[in-house]
Amino acid sequence: MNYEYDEIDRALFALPLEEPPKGLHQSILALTVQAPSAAEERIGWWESLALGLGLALAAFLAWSVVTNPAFGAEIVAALMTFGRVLSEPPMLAALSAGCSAVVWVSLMTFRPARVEVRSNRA
Amino acid sequence: MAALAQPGARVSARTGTLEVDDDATLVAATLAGRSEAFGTLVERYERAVYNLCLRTLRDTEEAKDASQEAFLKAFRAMRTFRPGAKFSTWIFSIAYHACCDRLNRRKRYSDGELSERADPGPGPDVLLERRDEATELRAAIDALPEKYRAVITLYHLQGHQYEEIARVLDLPMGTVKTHLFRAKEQLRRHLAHLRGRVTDEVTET
Repeated sequence: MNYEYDEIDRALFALPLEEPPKGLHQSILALTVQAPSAAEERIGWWESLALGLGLALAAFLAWSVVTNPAFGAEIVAALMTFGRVLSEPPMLAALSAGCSAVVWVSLMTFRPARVEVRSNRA
Repeated sequence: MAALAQPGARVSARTGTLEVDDDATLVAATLAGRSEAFGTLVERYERAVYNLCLRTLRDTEEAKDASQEAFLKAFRAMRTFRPGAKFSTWIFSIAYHACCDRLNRRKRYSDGELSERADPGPGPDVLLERRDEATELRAAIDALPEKYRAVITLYHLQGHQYEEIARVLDLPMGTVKTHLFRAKEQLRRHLAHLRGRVTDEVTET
């Protein structure tokens, strides 16, 4: 008997879907809605710590500027010195070399060795 | 929390899933933090997604992994789901692209040894034992080239919705229709050949 297009359509739509493996539903839920990152760790402890440190530093600087009028000028002078050192050619060269090395190392990929597949069939 | 306000929305005591007909409501409920809503979406589409992955990859373990990956990606990208779009099209598209990534990786690492990695399908002796229409048809679909296999599988899963199939595969509608026509033609030939071969072998024995 030869198949015709209508018959292929009929057979296709009558084709039962194959059962997914047992545990697929549970494993999907475990990866998504039941994963700890989804529910508990919306803000990591290190994020809270960084935020706290930032706020404490900002409060200290504000308090220092208010209580000591010369403090602002000292901070500005320190920043100017820092900027001047950064703009010196030897420092710039050292920084560029360091950054280039970091980028180069981060772009390196380590692929697994290729596994030869041999056929068992004659 | 539109899903919670819906009169028909209730949690099934048996499965722990949210009993809502509309996928968009389930997506909204998932975004509102209702995990049972996502459970309902998984329950509704895991079988179809798994079958799409299985037919595309022809490997049960990889199909399972690709299905998990698709739902995980969908869950993480739920906020990008366009209101008014069909969830089925969206999840099929994510699953299909996950499968394509796996096929590309497989090709890269095996350098043309794809046929060794993929399930070769049942031989003639097995066909004699399991000679039912569904097995024959699945074997014929598995024998199709990848692009036709995807189209015919989505046609099987989504019916005559060519536009949805085109969206999933990211192809023009005309190409989908052409692929579908050629896939059916190859299926017809393959099934006719298979039937002839099995009949010959039965006669010989």
